[in-house]
Amino acid sequence: MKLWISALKNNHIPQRVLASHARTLCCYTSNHNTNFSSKSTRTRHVSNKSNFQGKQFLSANKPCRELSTSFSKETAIQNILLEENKLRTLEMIPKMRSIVTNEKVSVGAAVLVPLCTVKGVPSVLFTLRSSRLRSHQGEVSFPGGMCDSTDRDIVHTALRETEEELGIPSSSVDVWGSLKPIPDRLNLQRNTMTVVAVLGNVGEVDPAKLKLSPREVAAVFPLSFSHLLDPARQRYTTMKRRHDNYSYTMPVWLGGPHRVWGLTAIMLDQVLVAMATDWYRTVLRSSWRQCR
Amino acid sequence: MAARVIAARCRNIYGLKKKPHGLRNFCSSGDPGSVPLSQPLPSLPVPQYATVSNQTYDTKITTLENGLKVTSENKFGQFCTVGVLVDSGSRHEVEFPSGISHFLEKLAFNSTARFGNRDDILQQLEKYGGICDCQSSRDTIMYAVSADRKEVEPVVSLLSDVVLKPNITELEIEDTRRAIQFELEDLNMRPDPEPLLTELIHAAAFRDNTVGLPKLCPPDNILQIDQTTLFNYLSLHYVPSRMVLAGVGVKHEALVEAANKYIVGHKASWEGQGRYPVKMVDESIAQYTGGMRQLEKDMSNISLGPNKFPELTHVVIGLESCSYNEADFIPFAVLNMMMGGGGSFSAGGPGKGMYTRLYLNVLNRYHWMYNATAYHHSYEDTGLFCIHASAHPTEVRELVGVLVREFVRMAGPVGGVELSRAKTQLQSMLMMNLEARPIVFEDIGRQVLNNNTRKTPQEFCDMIAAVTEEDIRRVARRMLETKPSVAALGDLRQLHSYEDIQTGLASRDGQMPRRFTLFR
Repeated sequence: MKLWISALKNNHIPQRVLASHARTLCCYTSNHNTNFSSKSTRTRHVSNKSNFQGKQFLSANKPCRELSTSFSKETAIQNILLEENKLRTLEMIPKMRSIVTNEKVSVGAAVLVPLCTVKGVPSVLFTLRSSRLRSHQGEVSFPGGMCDSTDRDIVHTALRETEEELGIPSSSVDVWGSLKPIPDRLNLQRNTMTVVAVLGNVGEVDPAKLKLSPREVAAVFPLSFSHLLDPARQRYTTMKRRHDNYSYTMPVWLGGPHRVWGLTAIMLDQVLVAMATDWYRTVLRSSWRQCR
Repeated sequence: MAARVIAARCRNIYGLKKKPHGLRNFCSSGDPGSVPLSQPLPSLPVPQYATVSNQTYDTKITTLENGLKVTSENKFGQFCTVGVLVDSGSRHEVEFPSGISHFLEKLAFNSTARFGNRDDILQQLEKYGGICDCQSSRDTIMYAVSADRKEVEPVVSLLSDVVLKPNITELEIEDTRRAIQFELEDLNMRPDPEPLLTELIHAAAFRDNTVGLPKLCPPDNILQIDQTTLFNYLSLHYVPSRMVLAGVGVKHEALVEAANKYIVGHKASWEGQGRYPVKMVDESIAQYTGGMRQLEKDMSNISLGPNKFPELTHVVIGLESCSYNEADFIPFAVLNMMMGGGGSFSAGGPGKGMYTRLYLNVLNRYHWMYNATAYHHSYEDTGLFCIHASAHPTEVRELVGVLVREFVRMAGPVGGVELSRAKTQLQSMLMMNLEARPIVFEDIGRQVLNNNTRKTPQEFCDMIAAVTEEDIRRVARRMLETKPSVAALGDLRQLHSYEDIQTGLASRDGQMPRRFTLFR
């Protein structure tokens, strides 16, 4: 074991050793030409060609640390917005189970999931919809809206709406990618609209200084990743569709200024599965029963 | 002389003792005439006198090692009420067919391991001067027995049998099915649709989840529920950690001892019956969704006798309030008392004595309003504040407008007299209710089941007295920001759309949006 650790510190790592201990390693630096790859799907994949962007985080250039301890949750959360995790997330997204079945889809909508840091703490930004809105009044959601004919693509819709609602310019958002579409209502009879969640890093944000659009947004608040990944703050609600033998489970996050539930919670659940695969297990579940 | 001889011989033949004329035998041991008045009669029980003291009996709580909580309050009286409360109700039925709690309520106190049928149980209880009852609500089910104070042990043993070892035979299930069918038909025929409306508003406010699930068994499920389903449900929910044994009028030590003897370590009748399909208890948190539920029904001919009953359409509008664990629960209760309301027959006009807001602003002003009542339902994780009103179908548009205006006015100024009247009424209602033993039993049982402590009535009175006008306006504002829930029953042609009601409640003065209609 000791020999192995010293070998890691010098970066002469035999490939087969790494393959079997892939889970316990963490190395967040691009200065070394290390290329770990493993047959298992739970690899820590570090690219040796990472190109960092302007606003980056302090831990990026730190040398490998904590190799003797197992991969800790706090470290994962601290590094969750880094380039390494971004690539990992983008790899994970196509592997995730799709929620949309073969329902008819009509007009699309897009929301931006604003990954940010508030005073250095990695968080996600949420908006509280104004009570004046007709649909989903007073509920917690992400900035976004329906696709316009003038939009180039889904990502453009999300960025445009974010700019209108929160005043965050599109140019300052580092778009990671988009998750698979999620249906707006789990109602088989009506036409369901699908919503696409776009992951984007908006950097350091002070929620008090954002310029909100009062007609659409009543408030804005962040929830840190450590809050979201804390099992004590998360509950679930199982719903039973009447006249059907169908039940589905959705997550709920408590403890913040407002409760996060509904479609927003489903999207957040998918985001956490993609970004913090080892620390979050999805709560989404649906089942058909024989007799009800 | 001859008569006396014959009488004497008759008495000797039948072995009757010769009694002195004029004295009846009260005392079985010895002659009462021989005991001086300064001594108690030997064979009578020693009397226990009530003492005039300021001692309030505390509620004592003990948790046993299997998780069962035992709580009691030694209230003075000849009778005691002992019962078991279980954290199980219609809100836990997501993975099961809805209606299991309704079945369990009707199946309570039937045949068990020790008793052959309900009659045996009632006969046993009769010896102790006792009665028994089972009541289920959306989140709790209570089995209670009231009997003579001295008989704690037999009562606890009976309860343990009834709760943990029911037989639930096929015959009993058949009878229950018929009873439930009859109850559902009866509810549909009644002029007073209160239970139906409660179901509708909960289903509208908490769509498809926990508290919104039906409490009454839906007709389709009556045949689906059988012994296996019931035992599956019981095996998950009737576990000691979800139960409370509560007693009023008993000594705490005696109750704990009885619990240890008759409940701890006893095997339930559903254990060891094999594997059940549903394995996990549902711990969903209730989610308030808002929404509208309508039930079109012809209410024009609803009277069962010769007198015509007026045709009414019932509308309930509700908003999310808070759970009973939050600090805002007391202001909501005061707000509920302040709105008050009831039937228009009681309104009687000024001077009759009904001064709550719904009487003054609604029932006294609009003669066509038949009733307007405010309700507040509060659960462990959510709450619902609603107003129920009914009027003739042609007045429905006006009715909804009036209700929306009243809701918006709740966030407006509150009169000082009005507020203090509501607070005093709430305090006196609380104290008067807690003079009754069964209500004390339910109070301590529910509080310990949900919070593991019991807040005394005095604490509640202090909290009520501390409510200010600002608190009322704040909770009303909090309520008005949530999505409305609407339930309607009857002839609904004139009912507004849900979006209009939403807009009305969000507006500053409570005015409904004007819709230009050609046909009135």
